[in-house]
Amino acid sequence: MVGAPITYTAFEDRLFSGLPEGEIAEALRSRGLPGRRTEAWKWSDLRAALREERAASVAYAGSDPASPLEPEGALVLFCRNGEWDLPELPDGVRVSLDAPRPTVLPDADLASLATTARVLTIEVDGTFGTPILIRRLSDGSGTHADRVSLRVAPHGRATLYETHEITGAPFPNSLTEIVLGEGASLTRLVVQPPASEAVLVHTSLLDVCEDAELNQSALTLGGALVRHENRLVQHTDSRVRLDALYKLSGQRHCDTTTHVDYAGTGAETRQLVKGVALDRARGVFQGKFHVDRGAQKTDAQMSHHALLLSQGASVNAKPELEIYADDVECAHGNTAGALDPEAMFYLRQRGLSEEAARGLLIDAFAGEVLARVGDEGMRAQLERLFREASN
Amino acid sequence: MMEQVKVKEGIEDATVEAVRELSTYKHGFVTDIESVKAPKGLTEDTVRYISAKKEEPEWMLELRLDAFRRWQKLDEPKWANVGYPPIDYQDQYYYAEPKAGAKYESLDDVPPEILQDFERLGIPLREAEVLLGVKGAEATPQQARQAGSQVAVDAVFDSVSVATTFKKELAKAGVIFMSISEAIREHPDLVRQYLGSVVPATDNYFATLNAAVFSDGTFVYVPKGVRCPMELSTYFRINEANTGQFERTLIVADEGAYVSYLEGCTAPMRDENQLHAAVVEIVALTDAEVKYSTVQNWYPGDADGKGGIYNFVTKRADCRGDRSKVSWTQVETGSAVTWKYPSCILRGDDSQGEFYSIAITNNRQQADTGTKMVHLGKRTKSRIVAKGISAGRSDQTYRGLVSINAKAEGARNFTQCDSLLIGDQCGAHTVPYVEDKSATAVLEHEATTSKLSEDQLFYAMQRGLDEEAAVALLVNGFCREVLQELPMEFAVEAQKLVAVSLEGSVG
Repeated sequence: MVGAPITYTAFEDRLFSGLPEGEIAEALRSRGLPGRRTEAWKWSDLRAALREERAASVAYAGSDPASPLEPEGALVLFCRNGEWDLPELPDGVRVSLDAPRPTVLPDADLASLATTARVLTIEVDGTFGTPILIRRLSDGSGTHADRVSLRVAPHGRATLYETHEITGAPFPNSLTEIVLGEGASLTRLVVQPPASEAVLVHTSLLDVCEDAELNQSALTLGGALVRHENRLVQHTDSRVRLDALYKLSGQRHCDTTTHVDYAGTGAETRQLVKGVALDRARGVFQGKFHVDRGAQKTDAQMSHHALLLSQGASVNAKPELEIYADDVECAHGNTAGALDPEAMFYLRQRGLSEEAARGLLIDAFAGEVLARVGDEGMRAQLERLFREASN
Repeated sequence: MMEQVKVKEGIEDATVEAVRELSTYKHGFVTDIESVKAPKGLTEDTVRYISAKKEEPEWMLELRLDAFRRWQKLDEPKWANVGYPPIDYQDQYYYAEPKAGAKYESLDDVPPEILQDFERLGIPLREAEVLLGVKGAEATPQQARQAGSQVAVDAVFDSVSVATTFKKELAKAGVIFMSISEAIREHPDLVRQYLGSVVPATDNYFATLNAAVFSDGTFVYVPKGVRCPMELSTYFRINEANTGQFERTLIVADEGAYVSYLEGCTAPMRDENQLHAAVVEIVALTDAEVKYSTVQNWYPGDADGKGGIYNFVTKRADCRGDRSKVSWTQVETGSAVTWKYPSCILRGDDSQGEFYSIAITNNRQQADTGTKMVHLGKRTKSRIVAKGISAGRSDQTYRGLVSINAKAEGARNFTQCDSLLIGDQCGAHTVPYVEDKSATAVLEHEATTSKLSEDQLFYAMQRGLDEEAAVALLVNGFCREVLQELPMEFAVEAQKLVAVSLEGSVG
């Protein structure tokens, strides 16, 4: 773009001068952080949210909070303000922490930035029955990054849970890279309890190989600015469920952005994203299915439904299809609105208080997403987290 | 037309190609008349030349010059999902008029070549005027009806409005329907009040360019409480080589008025690309209703993507008054590259906007089209139905915005976009933006992308239709919801156009 040279914010100034010289530094310096004027970030102005100067995060000061997710017998990996704490490992999984491997990742400046952190590699061969829980704990007001690379070998099976537990006003920038080998399967759950003062960007890059299966759900309760971006490549006959649920109150913001590229034929995608926005909260959904020429027989469905429960709340959505193959079934649906007054009337007339009726309808609205989580125990925990966030 | 085929005889492939092209784009004839053109290129002098030619008042020239100076500082937008070589704005003519002069006492003074041209386009211009008598004939509505034609036509040939029919009957109803250059002279206050109030000269690159160099177009004013007695129609035709057409249309429906307006476009086949950057502004005051229908059939270029029109158009309606309504219906089959988003600003309470669209792209055509519905008033409603058909190696994008302001209590939107792909070398894309700031609004959007059903094709062909006829039938069925929104005169033409546009896309 032709235009005046960028004037860096105090945050950018410090961040860019601290970056090791190379392509990543060059790319970021030429563009600055993405913001209102960046098409892919127009509703999530990261640049404005990070205007003030921040130092690198210092050591995590608090004690570990109770985990929002408690999967039975899980292997728990802690990342406190970007510093890893690794437990003893059972058989069937290999974990290593390696020096940074800076990489320029296309269309994902923040993910590129996170590649300047050390890489935690997790390798699963065969079936690893123990769920892996990555707890990312952040506090203070600095900035830190982390990078996780999970490889599930062909025909392997794994379960990955990730939490972002944030207190204070830090800016964590996380990157999860996942390669699902041929015929492999992964169940993934990402949970982020509310963090009103924090800015969080979590980019996930997933390569879903032939015949592989991904079942993913996310529950996010927002922050000052929160973006969960998932970029997938789906190969021949792969199957993906890519769900998300958000509930935002106060001034919180959450951006769910997904981008799916179809590189093979016959891939299937089911995406259901639902959100509730209260008070002055701002919800964002951006979805894109990009069906390459030759990716015939792709069957992809995208839905986003939002409930706006207060005057002052807002929801912005951009469900996009980009299709270059003719023998495909692709659809998207998007709705936004208030609670159905007739349903409210029905419940009130049955003797429920307004608050109870409202709560019931909101839970029912969210229930459609949560019902698709296969593990009953996990589903119950997600339901509780969702309900406990204020209506 | 036959000559063109003969010229290419001896080269078998080329001959076949020529015949095929002729059958595909039947409006691709060039009318042989001398014309007066502004010097090639775009400078302040060009702007002054156009303004002087039009005998415009000083304020109009100032408006143009302001726009031109602003345009020079702008960059051409690149965000649309279309690709074309850079446009050399200095390699165009910005004004061309038939040499005989722009003003005609009567249709008899119009060069017969031009009349023939319109006849070939199927416009009953001469017929209507002859029946009514051009000079001083006292036309009555009854006579007009007997003449079997109830459409008033303003025809724009290159840069100049050639003839406006039915003026007298319209004048009786108080309806002003004339070329915009005439209107600037005859109704300067009205034009000045509304021109640029919906699409300001500062709006976007092409609108700014249009404000600087617009050559002609149509002005419609329907006074308070008047239901326009007939449909109004404009036919645009680009004839000159290397000429851009920059028409400007302004429609004002005063309180309680109603008007239905039809617009058709064609251009001859040429190897080089021609630029068309029009602006259409609609103002609907309290309780007014405007129905705007377009059949856009500019020359789309040949099968290899050579030639064709660049159609970069800004169309916007301002539903200023309460309970006003504007309905856009478009059938887009032509142009090499289209960039067009007819929009509604729903300002008045209970105002309504509608957008019905069929876009067909074949061969190497590219279209990035859609709408914007901006809900500002309470209980405003909008409805979007867009049908896109891509064939050959074409690419098509639906790009739309539905924006609900916090004050738009109880606003309602329904959007449906369906895409159909014919062949595996084309693309169909959907880019809807939804911005909702009202907790009492209800918004629905759905989109599907699919190919023609093999079963339906088989069924139709097994009943004796050949493949092309079967495809045309199914595509017409796919577009049904939009076709039925078109006025009668256009509906028939549009259905045929659907079939013609898809010729050569199967097999």
